Amino acid sequence: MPGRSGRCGPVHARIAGDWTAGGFAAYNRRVLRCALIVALASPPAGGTAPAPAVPWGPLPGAQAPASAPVSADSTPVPADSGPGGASVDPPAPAADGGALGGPSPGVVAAVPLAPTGPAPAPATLPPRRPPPRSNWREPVAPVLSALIPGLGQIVNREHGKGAGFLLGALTLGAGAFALWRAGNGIDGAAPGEHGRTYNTEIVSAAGLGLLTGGLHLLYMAQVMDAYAGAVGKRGPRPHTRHRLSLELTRMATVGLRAGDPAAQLYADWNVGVLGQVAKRFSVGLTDLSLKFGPQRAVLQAGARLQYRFVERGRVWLSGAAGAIVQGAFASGPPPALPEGEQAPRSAVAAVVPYGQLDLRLFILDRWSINIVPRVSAPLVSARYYRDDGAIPRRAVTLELGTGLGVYF
Amino acid sequence: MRRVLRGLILPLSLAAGCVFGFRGEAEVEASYPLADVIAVRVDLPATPITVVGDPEAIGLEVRGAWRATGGTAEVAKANARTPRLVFERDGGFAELRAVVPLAVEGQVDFEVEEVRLPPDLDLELRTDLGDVSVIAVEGNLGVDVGAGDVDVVGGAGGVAVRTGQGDVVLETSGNADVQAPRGTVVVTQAGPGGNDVVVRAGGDVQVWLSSDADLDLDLHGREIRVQTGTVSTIDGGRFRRSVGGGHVKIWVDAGPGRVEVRMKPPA
Repeated sequence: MPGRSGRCGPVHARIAGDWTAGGFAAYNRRVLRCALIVALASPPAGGTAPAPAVPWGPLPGAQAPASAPVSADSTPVPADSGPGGASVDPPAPAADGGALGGPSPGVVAAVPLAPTGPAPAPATLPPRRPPPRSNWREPVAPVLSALIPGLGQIVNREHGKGAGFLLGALTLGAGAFALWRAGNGIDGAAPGEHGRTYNTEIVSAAGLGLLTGGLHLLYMAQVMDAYAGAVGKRGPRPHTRHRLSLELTRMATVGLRAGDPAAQLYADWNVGVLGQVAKRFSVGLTDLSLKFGPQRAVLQAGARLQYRFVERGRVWLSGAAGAIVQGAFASGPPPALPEGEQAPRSAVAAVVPYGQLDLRLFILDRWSINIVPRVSAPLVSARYYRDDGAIPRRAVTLELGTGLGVYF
Repeated sequence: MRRVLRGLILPLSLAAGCVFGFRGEAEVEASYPLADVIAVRVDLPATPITVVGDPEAIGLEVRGAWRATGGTAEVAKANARTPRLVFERDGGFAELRAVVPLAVEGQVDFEVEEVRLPPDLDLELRTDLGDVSVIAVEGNLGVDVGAGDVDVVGGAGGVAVRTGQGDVVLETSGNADVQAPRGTVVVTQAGPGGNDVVVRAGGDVQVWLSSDADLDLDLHGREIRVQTGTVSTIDGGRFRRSVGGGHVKIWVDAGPGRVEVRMKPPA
């Protein structure tokens, strides 16, 4: 009879064949190894509490015998051990007709247990889950990616992706820095230069806006991706039934200036909170920001109605309309005027109605990045940006927003 | 629907990021009386300024334009007309300054074409950003610029120049005090010489002397060259030397720049 090979070795050949001292010792070691495996795989005793029933079967590579069952301590299992005791599935008949008999450690390991009384119904148990293991990459990978783009992916053993993120961030950052350095900060110092370099300044400002926008979009995406890689999650399922969403957005545009340089990048970081009040329909307070110029402070807030008309996998597309209300307040001492002259207003307000699209890509179930093309026009007064930036009244403005959103 | 979306999103994404606007302009031409005035301060927003001392000027004459942007042509013109110049007198002191209301802040720019005034007045010039040129003003002269080059010919009563970023070229018979932490400086003694020159700069400094008698030389720089009739050296770091009574101070600190002191070539 050919021996069956497996982790526990050829058993029947030894049983049927001649025994030598060395062979017996080797056989015993093999049997003890099998017993250890079974003992580790068996359910814990749990003190006085009954251990859950586990369907026992043959060991890997070993065929189930058809002999009379024996208990683990070589004593018959009581018939009334019950479903919570040691009741197990009835043993399957051995395919090769071999039988194992007698209380032997090796036999104990290879033979499934069975009640001696009437066989109860087989116990069905939920599949065993592997015990939770701490995944140190979950907190570490996104933090590393936040410090150095791509590093979290490298920690997640996604070396190619990490290198790609790092290279992309370096390229975008270097390009933006080069454009920023190329700009002449004292262009306006020279007389008579108005408009002479307008086209160059437009291209330079637009390039700076696109590169910095792309950089922070890439930065946010790779931090989220590092977490997704750490938890092994690759197919996010956006929360379509969320109640609340938070947004951080940079709206940017390139506009003309009165002086030199004749064109400038106007960028505006803001935050927003939207609540989903009906299916796909959200309202909220948006475009919240505080800005400071050389002689002013600016506070703005807006209201928005938003409808999500495309939900395809991880991509959402929404349309929105809203309005920003902006108040600008003069700071510093009021201008000294001759007696009798009326002082100019120290506070002005602007209303900026807008319509926009929101193209959103989810990286995680609750986290997304987005691109927002917007059309707006300041009414009543100018729209102020940080430093000395201002878009004049009634100037139709196309803006491009980039940002992130989180959904609850 | 998809075609519409694609056709809408792509162009919007590509075209996004521009402002449609207009430019407007309002010319300024004004003359302010300067009778009994001995000192004038001109304090303007970022603009290049050219000041000419003109014996025929009867007051402070200003020519220039306010330039503005607006969402429409009308708004741009209105914005250009909103800011104004304010002239005030207080005894022998007069001041010209600009008042830009908050409503048009960041949307207007003042460009001075020329300022004329009697040459014997003391003059103080201030601007945030702009090249400054002063010609033939012989009173005491002070120039304070945030960023911009300064070019002065005159200032017999003494000249004080400070520019945050920019080069200075100065020709004067008065004492000169120049600060250009991010620029080069060239000072030329006009007339017979004998006027003090004190310079602190971040770039190269050249001093052209009319006379090499009675000098007190105190020079700092990466490389120092002195070539006069009485002193000749090539040095680095610091160089000190007195000639005669040492009453004419030539004190130069060029930091990492080079210092060169030479006699002015004969006219």
